[in-house]
Amino acid sequence: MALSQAARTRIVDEFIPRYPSKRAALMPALWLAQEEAGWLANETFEEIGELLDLHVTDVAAVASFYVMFHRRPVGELLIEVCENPSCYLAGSDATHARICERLGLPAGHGHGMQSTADGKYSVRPTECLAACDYAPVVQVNLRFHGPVRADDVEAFLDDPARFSIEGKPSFSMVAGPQALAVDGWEAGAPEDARSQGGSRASG
Amino acid sequence: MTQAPPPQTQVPPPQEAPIQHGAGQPLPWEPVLMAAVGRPGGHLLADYLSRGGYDGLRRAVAMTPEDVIKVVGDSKLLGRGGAGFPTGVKWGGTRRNPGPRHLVVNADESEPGTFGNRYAIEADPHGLIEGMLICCYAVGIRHAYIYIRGENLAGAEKLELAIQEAYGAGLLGTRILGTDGLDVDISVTRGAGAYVCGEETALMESLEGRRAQPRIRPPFPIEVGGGLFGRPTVVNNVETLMCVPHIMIRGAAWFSSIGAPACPGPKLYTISGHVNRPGVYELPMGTTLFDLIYKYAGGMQRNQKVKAVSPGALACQLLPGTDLNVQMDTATLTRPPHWHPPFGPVGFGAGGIIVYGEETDIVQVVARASGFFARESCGKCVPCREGTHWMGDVLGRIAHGHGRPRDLPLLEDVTRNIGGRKTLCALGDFSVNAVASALRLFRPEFEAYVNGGSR
Amino acid sequence: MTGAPPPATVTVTVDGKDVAVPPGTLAVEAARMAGVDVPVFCYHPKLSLAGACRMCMCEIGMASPPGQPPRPPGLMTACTTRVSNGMTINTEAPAALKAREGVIEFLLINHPLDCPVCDAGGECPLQDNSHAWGPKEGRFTEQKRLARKGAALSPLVVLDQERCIACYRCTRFMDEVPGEAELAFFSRGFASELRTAGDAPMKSRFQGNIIDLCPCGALTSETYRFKARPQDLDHADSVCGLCPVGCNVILDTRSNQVTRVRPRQNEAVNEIWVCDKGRFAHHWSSSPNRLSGPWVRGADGLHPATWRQAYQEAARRLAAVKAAHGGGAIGVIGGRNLTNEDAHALARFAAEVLETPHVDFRVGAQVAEANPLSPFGLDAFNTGLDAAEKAGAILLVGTDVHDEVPVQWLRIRKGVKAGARLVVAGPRATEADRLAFHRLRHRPGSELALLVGILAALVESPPLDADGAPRDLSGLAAAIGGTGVDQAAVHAGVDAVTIRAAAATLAGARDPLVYVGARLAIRHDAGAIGMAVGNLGRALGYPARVNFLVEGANGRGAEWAGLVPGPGGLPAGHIIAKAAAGEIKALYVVGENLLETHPDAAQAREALERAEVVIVHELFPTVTAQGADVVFAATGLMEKDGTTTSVEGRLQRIYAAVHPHGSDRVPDWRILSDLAAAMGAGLGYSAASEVTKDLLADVPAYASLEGKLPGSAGVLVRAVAVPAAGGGGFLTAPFHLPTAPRAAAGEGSTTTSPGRARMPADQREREAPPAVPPSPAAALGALAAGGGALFLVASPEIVGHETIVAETPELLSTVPEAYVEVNRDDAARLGIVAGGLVEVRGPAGAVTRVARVNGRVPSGTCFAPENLGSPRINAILRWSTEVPLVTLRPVVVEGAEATGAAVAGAR
Ligand SMILES: Cc1cc2nc3c(=O)[nH]c(=O)nc-3n(C[C@H](O)[C@H](O)[C@H](O)COP(=O)(O)O)c2cc1C
Ligand code: SF4
Ligand code: FES
Repeated sequence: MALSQAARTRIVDEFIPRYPSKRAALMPALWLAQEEAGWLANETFEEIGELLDLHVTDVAAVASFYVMFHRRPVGELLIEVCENPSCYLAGSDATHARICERLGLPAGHGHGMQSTADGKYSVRPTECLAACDYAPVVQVNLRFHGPVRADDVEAFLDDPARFSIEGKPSFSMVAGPQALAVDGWEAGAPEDARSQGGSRASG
Repeated sequence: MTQAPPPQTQVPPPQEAPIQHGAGQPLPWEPVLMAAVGRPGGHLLADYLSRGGYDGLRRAVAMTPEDVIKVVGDSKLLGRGGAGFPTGVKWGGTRRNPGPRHLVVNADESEPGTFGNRYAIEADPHGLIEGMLICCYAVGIRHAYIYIRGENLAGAEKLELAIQEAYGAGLLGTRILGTDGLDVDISVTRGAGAYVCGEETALMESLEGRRAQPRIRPPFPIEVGGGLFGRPTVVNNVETLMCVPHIMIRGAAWFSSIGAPACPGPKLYTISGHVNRPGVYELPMGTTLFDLIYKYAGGMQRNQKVKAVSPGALACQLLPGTDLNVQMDTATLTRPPHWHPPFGPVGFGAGGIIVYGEETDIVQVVARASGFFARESCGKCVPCREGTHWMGDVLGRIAHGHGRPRDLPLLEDVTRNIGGRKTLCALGDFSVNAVASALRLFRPEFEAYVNGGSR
Repeated sequence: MTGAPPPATVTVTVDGKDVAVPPGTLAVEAARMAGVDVPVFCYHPKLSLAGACRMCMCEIGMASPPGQPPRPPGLMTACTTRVSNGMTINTEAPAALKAREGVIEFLLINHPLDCPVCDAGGECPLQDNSHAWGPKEGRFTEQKRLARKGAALSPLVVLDQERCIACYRCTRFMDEVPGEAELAFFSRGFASELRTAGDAPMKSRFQGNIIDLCPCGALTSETYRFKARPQDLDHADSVCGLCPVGCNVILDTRSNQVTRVRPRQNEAVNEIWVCDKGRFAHHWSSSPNRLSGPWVRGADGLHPATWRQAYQEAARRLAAVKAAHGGGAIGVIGGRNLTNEDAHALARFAAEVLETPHVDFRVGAQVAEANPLSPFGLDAFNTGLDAAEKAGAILLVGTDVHDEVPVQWLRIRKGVKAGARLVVAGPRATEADRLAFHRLRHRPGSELALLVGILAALVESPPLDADGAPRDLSGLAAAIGGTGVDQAAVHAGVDAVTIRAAAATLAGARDPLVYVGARLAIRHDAGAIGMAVGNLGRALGYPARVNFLVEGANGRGAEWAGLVPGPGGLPAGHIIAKAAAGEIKALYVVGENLLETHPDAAQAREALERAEVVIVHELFPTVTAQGADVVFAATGLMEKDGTTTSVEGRLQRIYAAVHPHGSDRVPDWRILSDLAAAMGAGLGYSAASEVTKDLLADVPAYASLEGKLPGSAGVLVRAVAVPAAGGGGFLTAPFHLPTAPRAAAGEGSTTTSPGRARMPADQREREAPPAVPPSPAAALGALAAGGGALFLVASPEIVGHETIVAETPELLSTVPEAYVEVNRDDAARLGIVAGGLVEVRGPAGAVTRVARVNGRVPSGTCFAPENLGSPRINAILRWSTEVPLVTLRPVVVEGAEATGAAVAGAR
């Protein structure tokens, strides 16, 4: 699990000089170590601590605060399904359940991470990913995908890239006119809505 | 290899004609913050320069730093990160404290329902860098740090690329634009999954390599001992800084004439939930919720009525669907009007709007919100650490159909023991807003749950 | 100075009562000054502010500026709010009470409420605050958090995670006070839990303090667990007897046994801390292994005797030696761990009864003069311990302060955190190096050269006087015989640039402080080092901010009481040497296990064997006691009334916690008084207070007390009140350094001292021929020759395999296996692997040690702790070889059993 020489060099020559205090290089160092090994072992904390003059406990405790630092190996593909309200309203529970089902993992396991036996997939719920317009949003190895509805799960698992939203404009700009045609401004809702708001109109 | 930006002295007048925004409704005015969204290559320096990029900086360095701060102050720009603090005041206060000073860009954007910063960063990273440079010039800052949430890898990559381009073009480093006084280095630090890092002092702890637990105040970030690495520090949201170049180019008067007079300017509203066209909309501050939902976001899915809205994402109180005429701006939503006791203002936050249609099970939504805060509490202070978890447990139990009538008064009292500025940072207050307001607005739904089964 | 001075006080109103407090006071402290106790959990005056528990919430109102409407008061945490003039603090406002009740409810929902089986019960802030401020009934019906119970954070501290309220006192302490962040909260929010990385045991020697700090019984003491309830305990104020800092402690006893040691607050000494040795090593007092009565040697060896027999036997034997050879044939060694009363009685006994000048508490001492700074009219230690807190720079020479004066190290750390620049000189990296501003890694034994180098650097660029003019140091230039920085640097093996930088740091600092290790005060070149140190104080313009540490809990008291060589008397090292040579015929040893503490075990054994008479006072049947003719069973510090004097010269009272009534152990002063009577002389003491009275009257240092004993905080006294000799000028000592370092040729090599101060001729004669500091060339030469020879540096660790420690198995289990520390490069060259066994061969033999391979010792040097392993490292050393060369050879182990055997005997 040792850090590669290249990583050590980067930490010392690039990260440490970036900040006025050595310990500030910790977040980038942890990221780099995790990119190399996939997760963070105690020996890694020790090595990083030596480079940054920090006690190994100090390093490990910092890492443990952040849910994206893994203290155990994770699957090759880490699938994270947002479960916060916007995605919930769009059906993320069903998406999550379907992903688990397709991968043979028990659903409804609370907040932990579950992994397939072959080490290929890990799945866990996550908090809002700041892409709510593409709800339900699913992250695969830190890349955004959406909307991934329950019915899309098979296609999604086959080829996640098809659902990638990276570089796409906001959903409001890509949503086809059909969405509007069905329930849009012209569709008559406003009158209804206006009357809802009427009693409390604040001018 | 320095690629000097083309000299440009003429400032283009604001365009008159409304421009079409995607397939949506015509916007009543020209978007400035979103100008590059959906524009291929819009994130590259060449494109930015072709759009008049870095002219704001040129204008700024032609003025004294004090004048720059004055212009920003006169524009009445309020911070877009949530607290709505006047940016000019923050900059001026920091400048008055001894150097070295730092700038920290808060790109942590983790509030459920908020996603404007993500588009801004991905589409227009140079807009952010320019805003940062103007701030550094005005406040006298040598080192600036961007803290971006770990999940947003694509954003971090775009920023790194833009920073590289800017160094290549002499827009970062020493003697920027050939000036004697302006040397700025920018680096990007990635978070790793902690909502509380959006809170500015927790963010600084994290940036310094610590567990992201908020600091006590005073000393405040702008003061010695309170900021990053103990130095006076400006912490600004991405969107706040991205407004600045436009203010420099078009003037404070232009900015302060847009939208709500008390907190003017363009605003990136993000809207999600049961609307037809969820997305990010750049509109004048003070646009009404009604317009946002029906005029821009395409109305409600399946034509359902609006049951409730989280106007400032999960951290604020719920607004009933009957209150859609409210103006969406910091001044209106964070200052006293009629509908909010006992927890005071509804909250505007960063303008992330979640719309709940009438088919929404509010109890489930609130249980989820509560779980979110319980998991994201940093654990430093007691009411938030223990209280959010307790609320989460009770609400989870209720949502699973195991509620008891006495749970409701209990929940109300627990919200009172957490909320009301009893916690070290505002996360504690945030955590009770949805619960307390839902209990008030949708009491019968909770009662149905606790009196046996869901609804 | 112009401008109005800031107001000395501001007025605030606490619950309607006005108090004037200094500006910047925290509201919680202001309330305390007004007599109102605001409940707190996370707040602790010795730690940084956390604002975590929210228990201290009060309704606080700020005065509004004149002419503006009053601002409504709001809830604020009193522990983080600093007062301003006109502030109102309402500690019992309804909103505050409600908030507080909420906090208690929150804390208790996950607390197991297992108070009946909790050690903290009865002295638990959580319990007390719950009763005072908590809700009447619980409303929590969810599943309580389940977490680790009874988990060992180390062999000494136990964690009950379920009880933890996450106040961060323990983690703040570890991070801020000893600076060992080896305990931290992991995860976050509700899931936060206290851990160490990989659940490795905590190693800090200060970890016991977190037990005191914990407000809720989450952290308890392994040795005190389930032993007593607070109401069962009796208490005695005492002073820790394990090092010269003299930490104030409370001894809690039950059934006449010490069950627990707690620090007692004394801001001038230990603040509120003690080290783990002081806290945990108290079980010796009630050990069944103690000597239970006197022993007398008969034809068939030692056997128990009555006190009467023992006195008669000792008197007879001593009288015989005295009659045959005179009192000068008797050597008296020991006294550094006694009370002042014992020391005074011993000094009188030696002078009046034995009539010998050969008395010395300083085991291994090579020089007679006990105070190296006496030529300057200074005490050996001249500042208060708390001076370290406000120093601008601190120089450490020849001391590993963390292990030599542990709690003082905490104070030095505090000073460094407040801005002091630490200059650490030593042959190897110590804990202090972590905070060092300059590190001066000199060759073993070359401290004098280094000090002369610093003096030379000051001559080159003198400090500025108050008027900005460079101080005239021409006298100093003469005093060091014109030695230049470069010359001294070559000799010390330190780069001249670093010496100059360190000197500049010291010269530029306000109130610099110098601490010199106790060993340097007894070494052959102590006189010259004293000259250099005294001159350094004067050159810096702070003549009295130079300090020599001392060994033993009451070394300073022993020095002042007169347990030092009298006119013509021999220092302790020479007493042993002469006894081994047959010139000293009788040894009177008080509380010293010489076979383990004299730097040459073989010589000590020879001395004890050769002496016609050996009398020993002891607590335990040590190897030394077993070689005696008469052994008196003595009482220890926790069992005595009396006084001690700490390293800084603080006279402190101690009260017996354990009363020897019925037992057959007697305080040393009484043994001496009774033995004197048996010898027909009689000191005439029948109570400790009588000795105290004499002590205060007879010992000049205590004259200023006019016979009055100090109160609980003790009193700082100075033995020397005379103005500095030479009117503040520099004292000339020929610090001639050889122009080129001379190679020491290994074992037993001796040449003339490179820098000896001018001393009285008689004293110089008495000195053993000193060793020249060895050169790296010699070591490297030896290495190249394939011998694997390295210079050996040895000093004690804070907690070792001492008898007193061994009686506390939990503490003993934290002591590492005896080891030798080797540089990576040397280890590679010699085929030594980390953790492997190594044979260390020195001038007098060989021992086996576990190898630690790191960069803490420079190449060419190795380190072995003195108080670890059996036999101790002194088994391979010769007293006359101060910086010995040793050879290291990896031990080839055949079979696992050999490993066990080779490192066994960790006592
Ligand atoms: C729990 C919590 C989360 C926050 N999250 C964010 C965030 O994600 N982004 C942000 O810009 N500000 C966030 N803030 C507000 C910041 O603390 C701070 O006020 C803001 O970054 C200041 O920038 P501005 O003046 O430009 O708004 C958060 C505050 C709290 C209490
Ligand atoms: S309110 Fe919550 S997030 Fe904020 S400091 Fe307290 S525990 Fe941490
Ligand atoms: S004592 Fe004030 S917050 Fe803990």
